Amino acid sequence: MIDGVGHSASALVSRRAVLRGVGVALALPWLESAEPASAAPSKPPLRLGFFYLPNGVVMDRWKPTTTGSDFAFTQILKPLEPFRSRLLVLSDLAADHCEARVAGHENAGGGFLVGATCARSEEPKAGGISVDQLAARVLGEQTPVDCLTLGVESGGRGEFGYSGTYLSHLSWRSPTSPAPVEINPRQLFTRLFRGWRARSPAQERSAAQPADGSLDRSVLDLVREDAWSLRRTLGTRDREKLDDYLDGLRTIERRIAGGGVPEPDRLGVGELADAAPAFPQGQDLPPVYADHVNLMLDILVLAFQADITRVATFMFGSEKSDRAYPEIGAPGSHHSTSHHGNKPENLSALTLINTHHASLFARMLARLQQIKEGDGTLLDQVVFCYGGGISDGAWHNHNNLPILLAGGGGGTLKGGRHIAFGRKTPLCNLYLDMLARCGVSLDRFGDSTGRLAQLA
Amino acid sequence: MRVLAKAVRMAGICLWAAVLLVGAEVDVDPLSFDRRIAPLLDTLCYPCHNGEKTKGDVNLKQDQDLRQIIDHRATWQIALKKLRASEMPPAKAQVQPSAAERAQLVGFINRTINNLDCAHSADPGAAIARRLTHAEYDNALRDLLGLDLRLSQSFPADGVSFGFDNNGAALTMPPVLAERYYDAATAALDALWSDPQARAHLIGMPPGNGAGEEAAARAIITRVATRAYRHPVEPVHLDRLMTLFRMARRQGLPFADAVRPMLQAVLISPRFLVRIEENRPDELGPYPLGAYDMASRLSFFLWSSPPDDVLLAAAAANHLSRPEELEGQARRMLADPRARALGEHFAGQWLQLRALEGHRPDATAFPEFTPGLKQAMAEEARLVIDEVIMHDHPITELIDADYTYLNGDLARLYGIAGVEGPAMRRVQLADHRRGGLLTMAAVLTFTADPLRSNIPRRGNYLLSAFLGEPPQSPPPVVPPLEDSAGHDAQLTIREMIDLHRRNPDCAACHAKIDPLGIGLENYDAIGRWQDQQAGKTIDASGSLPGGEVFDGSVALKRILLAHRTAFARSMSSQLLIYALGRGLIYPDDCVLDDMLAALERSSYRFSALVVTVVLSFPFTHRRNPDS
Repeated sequence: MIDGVGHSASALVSRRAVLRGVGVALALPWLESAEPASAAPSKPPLRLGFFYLPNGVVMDRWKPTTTGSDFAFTQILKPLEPFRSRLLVLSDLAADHCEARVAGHENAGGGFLVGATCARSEEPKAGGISVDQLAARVLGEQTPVDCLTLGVESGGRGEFGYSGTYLSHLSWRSPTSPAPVEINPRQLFTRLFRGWRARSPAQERSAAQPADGSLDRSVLDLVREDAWSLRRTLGTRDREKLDDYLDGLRTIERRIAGGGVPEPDRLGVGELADAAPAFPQGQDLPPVYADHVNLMLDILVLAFQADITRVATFMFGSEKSDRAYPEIGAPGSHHSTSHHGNKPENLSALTLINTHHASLFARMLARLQQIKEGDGTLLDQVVFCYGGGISDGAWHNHNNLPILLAGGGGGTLKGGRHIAFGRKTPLCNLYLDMLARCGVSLDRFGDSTGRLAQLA
Repeated sequence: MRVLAKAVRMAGICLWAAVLLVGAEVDVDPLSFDRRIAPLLDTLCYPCHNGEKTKGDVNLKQDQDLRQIIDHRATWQIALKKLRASEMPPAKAQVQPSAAERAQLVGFINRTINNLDCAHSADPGAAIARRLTHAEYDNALRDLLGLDLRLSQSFPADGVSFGFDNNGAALTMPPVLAERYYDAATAALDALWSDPQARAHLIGMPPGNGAGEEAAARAIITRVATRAYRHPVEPVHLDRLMTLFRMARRQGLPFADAVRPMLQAVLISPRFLVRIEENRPDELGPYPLGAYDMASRLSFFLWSSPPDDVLLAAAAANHLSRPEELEGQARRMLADPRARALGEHFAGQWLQLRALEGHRPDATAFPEFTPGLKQAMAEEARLVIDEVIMHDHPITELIDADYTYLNGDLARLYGIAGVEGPAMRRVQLADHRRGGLLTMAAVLTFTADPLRSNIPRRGNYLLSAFLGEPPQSPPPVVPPLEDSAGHDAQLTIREMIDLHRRNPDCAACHAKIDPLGIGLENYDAIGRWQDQQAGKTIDASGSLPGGEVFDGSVALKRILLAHRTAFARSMSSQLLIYALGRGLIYPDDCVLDDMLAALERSSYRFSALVVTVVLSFPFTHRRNPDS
């Protein structure tokens, strides 16, 4: 169990089935089959991902003791060692925007990707738009889904005058509009794959239904025009909500029209449906944490592979999560344990949790590496930030953060190194750099002072 | 210049603040703030609570006139409390006020922020269109189609504000949700099409061709849209929907299939998904809600569902503007089984009962905690709350009662004999170690850690949910408790808590939090009674900051009952937040006062709260949205 693969004996996911889906049925790399023979093959796109660790980590079991290319993997990072050449461990990064005078976790979650602190209010108001959403505004134009916001825990109530949304939501479309976190793998899969078939079964049964989708489009047109007329009667804030809804209706229209949508057959999604991950019965979530995470990440890999989206966030847990991990020998509440008081048993339990997360992340990197794309693998075409907004859970400090970068960045990242910047360096510099690599050029993000040096 | 700037700023403030200011300035020398109060704040408060230094995240210096103080009323309320209790300035501060100075400051703050003239300050709050919550959406589809499909299970969870998922501001409509609504509409209609009886009920039999067919289709969509939008539908909108029917017919679809696109449009229309209330463009201030909007507020509040036929008929007859009719409807609806929604969504969220679902006690330490037992725990809480709501019992039964609901498993956990089998039943209790929410296994379990009870968390829960006094946040850097104790694994949690109290950084708040949790220390992490822990007899005695001493949960509950006003005010404010779908504003204090008075008049019966909310100014009024 602690080996990293994280499958319980009663694994609900048929690993082989998924591998078949990934490795065989979806062997076609990014749009290669769509390229006319005469045209030069286009460069596969970069995918951007943020993988969040809540409640801090045991830093001295995370941070390598030496810098440069021959650093030794620490206990927590050990599961990632097979991907050494595609990793950059980045030390001394700081997120002042995760700082709050009170409440150590709220700004860490709600501020992490936004680069600014959240308002202390029960009605959520983040400090701006998150980095993934900024990227999605550009990269999302070219894919059916602009970005994915995934996790394994839904949000809860707030405390101390802060909205609970900050704890469970990294991704903010606007200061008042957190992107909903999808936690149900079956629903996610349906939305991304089977959902893209324009016609419902009932319509298929109806022989007289014309297949051109003109009726569906007219329905959407009507609702959209009507919504526009309603818009005038609403206040500013409600208008913003309605505009979001209209955006959603446009996505549905694209899906009906088939424009920009990968043809299921071309991407092997039809076969994928047969070799689809085995979901748990009913609407329930997989009871074992590792199964749940693996299922979500498997689907994410598929979405990246099929170029359904190029931007994603994933939370290994909400900030302040009380999840217990009895299956790996950490039966206490994660949050309570993170207030470790330097007790050896708490530090051991936390280390187990931190290592477990690294194993699950490593498993996903392994899958990405198995998928051929262009001249390399899908792992070469990603830029993933893995880490969290709290360094030590007992101190809630937001400097010296646990952060690493995974992926080849399209050949632009020189991995295999531990870089310690030596002095406090804004985490936002990393974001600025990640955005630039994906073709989104900004002068500033949050408290950035420039792109992070030494990555290439 | 300064006066002018002030006047300009004043122009933008809400009506009630203006009224208050006028009131305040009649009472108080308008210059007293600058002349007498500001110097006191400057020496006593600003040193730690200014723009740069904001201890406890409190900045008092930003408020430089009465309006700003009222705007940040919550902060000043705490300041007032601390000043009164002589907790501020802290004992270690060099400058301390004289008794007269303290009294002057307390008097000023109190006059400024607690001087509400309820006759002149009624305010419905900002207008906001509330999207249906997931539960409301499911119920609306159920009422509309006659099929209980629970399709919202596939939707991403709604955000929670002030503890509730029905907050207008938090009910956003992100694009992902639009896709879900679209797919759910398709799934709902698929389900309807595969259920000939339900479909026939909605659509009826296909009429003959020609003009009769048009009329039939229009009749169907008029009926469906009126119910779905909870409001009569403008003919022009019906005309537009009918174009879909004609188009479908031209494409050769049979009658029923040609009605379907209209239904699809209704089910994804913002008119269905959002409660958009009617504006009155000519009104500058608050005005009474339209009849149909009133019906919707009432039914979504009490039933989490759209209005039924009786309520719609009352709206059509314009009866809901009469308070006695409104009260009559509220009482009718409270007695209806659909009022269980209040237990599930209001009480369930206020008392955080949903937390049990995700809570997992350690399976090795607590093998008794089976899914069946967990279910029984949840049922116990639900049934007691239902009894209070549906049978209009005193709300104090939530603190302590002489009955509860048990099945065999739960009775065994409680050590109560004579209850067997899986069915829950009402059980008369022999003593007060059980009875009421606080000593229920459900609450005791989700306020514990997976392995052990958690004193501060239980205390925090009691303070927040029951007494309406959520503790202030702990400092972000919590010093390890053991630093002063060494690594002694044999410490009981109680002994750890004593360390807690010896640390001055923790002591102030934990003096309020911990005793309440200690009072529940006889219940383990799954709510089982225990006399010993770690080989030592449990000491569940404590004293509250007010000086009251108690020993154990029975005595603690007695103290809480003696403080039932605090509990009632907490519950009242939660119910008002839930009913209005927004955070409370200053004038809502008037409604809370009315609710408490109504409770006193009615032996604390639940319906007194509901009726007072339903008849209140903010519930029956609105204002036009800002644009």
